[in-house]
Amino acid sequence: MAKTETLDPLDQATDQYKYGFVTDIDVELAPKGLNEDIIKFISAKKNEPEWLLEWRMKAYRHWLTMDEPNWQKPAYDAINYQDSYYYAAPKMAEKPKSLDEVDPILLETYEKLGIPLREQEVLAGVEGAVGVAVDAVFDSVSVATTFKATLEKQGVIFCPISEAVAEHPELVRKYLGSVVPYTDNFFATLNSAVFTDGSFVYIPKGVRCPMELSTYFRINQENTGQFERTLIIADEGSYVSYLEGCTAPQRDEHQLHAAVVELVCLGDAEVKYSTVQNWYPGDAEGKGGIYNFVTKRGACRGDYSKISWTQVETGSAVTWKYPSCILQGDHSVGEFYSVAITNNLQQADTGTKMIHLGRNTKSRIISKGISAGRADQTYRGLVRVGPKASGARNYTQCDSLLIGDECGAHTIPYIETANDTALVEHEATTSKISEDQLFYCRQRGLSDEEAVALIVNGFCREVMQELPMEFAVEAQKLVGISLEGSVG
Amino acid sequence: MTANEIFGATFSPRGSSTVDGPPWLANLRQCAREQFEATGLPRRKVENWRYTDLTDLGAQAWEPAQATSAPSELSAEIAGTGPRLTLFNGRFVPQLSNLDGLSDGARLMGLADCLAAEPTLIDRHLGKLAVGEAMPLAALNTAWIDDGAVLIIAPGAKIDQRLHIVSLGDGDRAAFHPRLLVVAGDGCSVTLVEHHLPVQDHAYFSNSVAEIFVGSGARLEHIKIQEEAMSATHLAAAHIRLDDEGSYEGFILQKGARLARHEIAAELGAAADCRVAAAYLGNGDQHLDTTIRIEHVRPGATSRQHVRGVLTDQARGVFQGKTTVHKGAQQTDGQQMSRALLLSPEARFSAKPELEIYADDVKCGHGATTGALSEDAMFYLEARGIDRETARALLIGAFVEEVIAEISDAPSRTALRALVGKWLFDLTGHDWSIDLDDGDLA
Repeated sequence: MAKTETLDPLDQATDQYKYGFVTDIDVELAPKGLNEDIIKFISAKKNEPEWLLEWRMKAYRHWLTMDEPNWQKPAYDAINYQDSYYYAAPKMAEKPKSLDEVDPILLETYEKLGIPLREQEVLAGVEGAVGVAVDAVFDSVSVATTFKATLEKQGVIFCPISEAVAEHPELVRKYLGSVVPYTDNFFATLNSAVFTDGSFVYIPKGVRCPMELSTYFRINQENTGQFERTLIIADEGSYVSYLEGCTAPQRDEHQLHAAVVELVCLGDAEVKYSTVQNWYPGDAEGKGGIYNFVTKRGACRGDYSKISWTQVETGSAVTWKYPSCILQGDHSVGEFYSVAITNNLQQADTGTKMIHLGRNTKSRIISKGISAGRADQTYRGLVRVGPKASGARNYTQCDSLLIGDECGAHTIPYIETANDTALVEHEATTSKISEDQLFYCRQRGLSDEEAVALIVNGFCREVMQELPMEFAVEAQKLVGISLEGSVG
Repeated sequence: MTANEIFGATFSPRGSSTVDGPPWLANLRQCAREQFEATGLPRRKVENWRYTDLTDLGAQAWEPAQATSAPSELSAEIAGTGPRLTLFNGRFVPQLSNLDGLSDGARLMGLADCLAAEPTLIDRHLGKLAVGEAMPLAALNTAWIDDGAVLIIAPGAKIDQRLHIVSLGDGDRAAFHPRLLVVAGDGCSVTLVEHHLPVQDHAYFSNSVAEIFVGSGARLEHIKIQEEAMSATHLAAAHIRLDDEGSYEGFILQKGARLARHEIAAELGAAADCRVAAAYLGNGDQHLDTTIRIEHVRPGATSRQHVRGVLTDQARGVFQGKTTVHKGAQQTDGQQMSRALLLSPEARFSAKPELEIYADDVKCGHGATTGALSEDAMFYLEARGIDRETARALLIGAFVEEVIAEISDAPSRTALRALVGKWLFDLTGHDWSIDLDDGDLA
């Protein structure tokens, strides 16, 4: 079926990074630095139970024994973990009971970012207007969660994780750290010790979540790291689609974002997790920008469960993450769709891990990397088939597109098969935008930049199609904006 | 353990050589020895050795292999193959070699003889490629350098003969370090067959290093057959430099040894052409590793890697391929393909096909697959009245044939098919390897 597409003129986006503003708001900060007292402080601020503080302490003590990993491709400036704030919260007199009590400056910020926190009436009959429930995280804390009432009717729990600790301790205690243990890796361990907020989702048995759930992360405060923790549990036969977006102001210093996302998928359940990552990428000379070192992992615990990761990575100075699936249940399915765009001096080392443990498990990896300017990008992925994963099936496709002769694009797949009935296929290509394609577009009146955006969007199409509609439009625009200045 | 502990107290700067050789050689050995002692044997946390574990090798004591008990003659099938240089435990054995009738323009000689008589022939080449901290086993070889084979082809010479280098290994816990140096002059053309095999089934350790220089516009076809003893360890590295428009066609068959690795490190000049095809056939508890690194440093070069393996019993297969395109190496065409066939529930395969690209006007790709024999293909054959075992042999044979067909030298293709056929016969009771050169099939 033919579709018509309108290409938004790129000059609409006057600034390369339009989310670079800073919100001037009163903030409560913990003292700078990292030690046991800070962790106690965070835990006390959140009124956490004893077991969680203990868990944080175990993580912190373990973290002290760990070395920062150095096998990754991107080089980044050493991070001084003592020169950062681990807790920054917009000052609010008391926990707001409704949006009316939230500081209007905060609401304005989210408005500027295009995130509607006010629940809008869903217009009957308008296609696609199902509404999106949003949890907005500002620096270290969640400021608002919308549509809670609607969700509660179905038994869906969608709230800040700190609230879940208080109200659903049995669920949090059972699943927190069950997919990404506190000993997992340097940054996940750090997160386990100091995580401040994040979203918690529980979808009860047999429920199809009536709307998209979304978390919007915003780093605002200077010298803070953001360490949010997301935990999504899809009980048997349930379904949820979850979106994550993020931005940060333009600053000259690098800021660390070390989040952990854990997905638990029980029998017949499905979780679709989409990310549009647009952290501040630094300027054209590589000054500033976010270090996005995130651990994302999902466990398909039950038979016939499914986890699908979709990511559009356009921001951050350095992106270093591998959203992964552990396919434990028989017939479980893991998917990874990724578009990563690096321009100027951005670096990315991203990919996925598909660990096949159950019988007849399937995984599919589609990765599209676009490298421009002096950027450097690596796809790194692991497909492992365990001895018991009879009938496992994997298909991997990694395509890289290079724009300009100063950038780099690398592919490092690891394939480990321990079962003779498994079928694993991997394909990768590297190419550039051909002069013919550009000529064709120019001849039809498109400018160089419009032509590149069009061609790149075509190159990424397979992945973009996986995004929920609410995000697809934004993501397509982002592709164009991220590549501004890469040609001509 | 230190190098001395692992490789015997007689480890000396002179190796086990009876001749000192020129002064630069002593220096080369000394530097290499220091380098090996600094790094030791590579561990699995070294990325390049992620899938091959040398812990067992390092845990044993090895004696320098003795070269005194060479057999008096070679088996007929190997003896009858034309010009041949034979090494026994890394040492040149003239009575097992046949160097009469060598074509004009070709020189094939023992390394120790060359060092003693004409060191200036090789002083610009020996030890110039197999260097670098990433290659501890090459350093170990260089530290022990004393004998091996030297092949020099004069510029422009077209050698019609197939030249053979045979390496025999013998002795339990014996370690030897054969060294091969090939200098193919500008515009020449030659085919070299390198054959590694045992005298008896002993647990020896052969650590071989080849340095191969291919001149401008020269063409070298290099076929390596690894049929070491099933309890032996075979670690080999070929360091290759291709000048502009030079062409290297390599083929590696790995069939023997309990633990084996063949590593290629090639650096390509402008418009050079490097094609490597490889097959490995693993059974029992064999571990067979094929590692290929190709560096495109100048524009317009082409590289191909095509590796296929068949694994049964508890055999482990490893393929690591890396194509690096350096800045400025535009118009590069680099392709990799790895396919593994797993025939038993306990066979294992690991692959890391890697691309590292710093230029935009390139065509690079790779593919990797692993899986069992296709049930559809089996059904097709069975439906035509072919019994299951025969069908299986036929399909495995056809699978391996795809890489053998890439060998240019026809007699070598035939010889390799025979080797694959014998392996298949042992496995399935059928020799159904396919000969695409056979008129019946054409």
